[in-house]
Amino acid sequence: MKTVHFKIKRQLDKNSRPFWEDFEVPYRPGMNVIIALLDIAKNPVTKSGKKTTSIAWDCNCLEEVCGACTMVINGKVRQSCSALVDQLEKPIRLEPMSKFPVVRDLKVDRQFMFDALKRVKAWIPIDGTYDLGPGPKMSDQDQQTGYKLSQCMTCGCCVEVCPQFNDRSEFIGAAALSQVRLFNLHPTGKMQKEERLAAIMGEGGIEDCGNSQNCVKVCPKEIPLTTSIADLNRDTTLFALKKIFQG
Amino acid sequence: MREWLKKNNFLVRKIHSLLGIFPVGVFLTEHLITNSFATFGPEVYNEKIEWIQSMPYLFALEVGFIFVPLLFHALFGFVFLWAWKDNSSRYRYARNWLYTLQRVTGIIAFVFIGYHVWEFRIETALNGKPVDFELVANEMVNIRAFLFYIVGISATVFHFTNGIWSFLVHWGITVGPKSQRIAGYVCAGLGVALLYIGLDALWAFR
Repeated sequence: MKTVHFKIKRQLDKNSRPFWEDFEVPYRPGMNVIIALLDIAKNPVTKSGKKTTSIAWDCNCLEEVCGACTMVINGKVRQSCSALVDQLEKPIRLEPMSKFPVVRDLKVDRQFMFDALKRVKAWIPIDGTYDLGPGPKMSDQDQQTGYKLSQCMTCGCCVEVCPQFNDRSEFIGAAALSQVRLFNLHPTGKMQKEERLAAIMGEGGIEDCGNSQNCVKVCPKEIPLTTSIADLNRDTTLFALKKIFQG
Repeated sequence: MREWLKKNNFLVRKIHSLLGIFPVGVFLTEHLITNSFATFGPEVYNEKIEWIQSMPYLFALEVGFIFVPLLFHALFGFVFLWAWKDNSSRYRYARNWLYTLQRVTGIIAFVFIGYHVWEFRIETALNGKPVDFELVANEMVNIRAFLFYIVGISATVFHFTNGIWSFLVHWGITVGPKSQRIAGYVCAGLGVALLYIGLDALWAFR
């Protein structure tokens, strides 16, 4: 029987030491990494025949739109649902993302990503005491730009590869910055444009970007993250000048 | 200091980036071109050095346009290095390499410029030694000093010209990938030209 060799970095809880275990999984044509993990879950026995605990990991949509199954595969961060075994070098090495706290094994806590969205006010306030009626129209060009930006699934690949994002920095990362561009582009969202710009001009904001541009290279949704950052560099610069000369 | 820096992050980073271009980078360009007078021989070089040394308000110009901006740029450059966790060997993209090189060359440039300023500006002033062609030529006889200058000038020119690219992004001047790519080529061209000017002048002292 044809099999596939996996090396998986395991960690039993947030504070315990990580260790590696080897697994041999029966090969199936067209299989992805998730299929292999499901197989291991059915019978958690290592390659050398030792019985072990089942591996924890996260997954949800299985079509690369939710970001839950993001992990480091053969040294590169990506979604495991779209990682096809046929296209990967063997043995296949699976590790949890390194920039988030590990919950267990391959499952990490990406709460930071969602907190970052709150920090930059990545929403459009439309609640009022009366019906405000329809908002202003959005140009076709802005719709096209915004649609691409709206595909962000907050998976965290962009911050995993960012040399400026780590436990020594406060940087919020490319995903949240790009959402500022999205909501500032929206005709109704524009009304809070300066609030969002102010939010990314503080500590850990846009200035902490170091222009390594890794984020745009690994983004699975091919979002133009570095264009978003440079665009916001322009907006924040103009906003700062406005504050200086109108203040 | 830490709290102050957190609060003024935006302003400090913008000033840090601006000072690298003006006046520090502009002075670097002027300095490398002035040094090229050495290729016309010791007499021409000494004449130009004397002209610069006879400038009015020279000390104020040196402090205001060189020492203070350079120290600000260097000091905060080192502060910003704190957040750097390199991954250029894992994610081998050209920009990631340039990102790493920008930081490495910054450290080399700091050591080189520190030594260079001590040797040809501070020590000579303290001992009353004349700064002229002979002084530099005597130093460059030493092969280790000569090689150190080659590395130092290369690192400094790289740090400046790649820094122009970063400046253009950081100030929101080049936004899209195409404009950033073109800016990359222009900066690379400028880097090669400045490197030639710098090394050609250095060679003249050998």
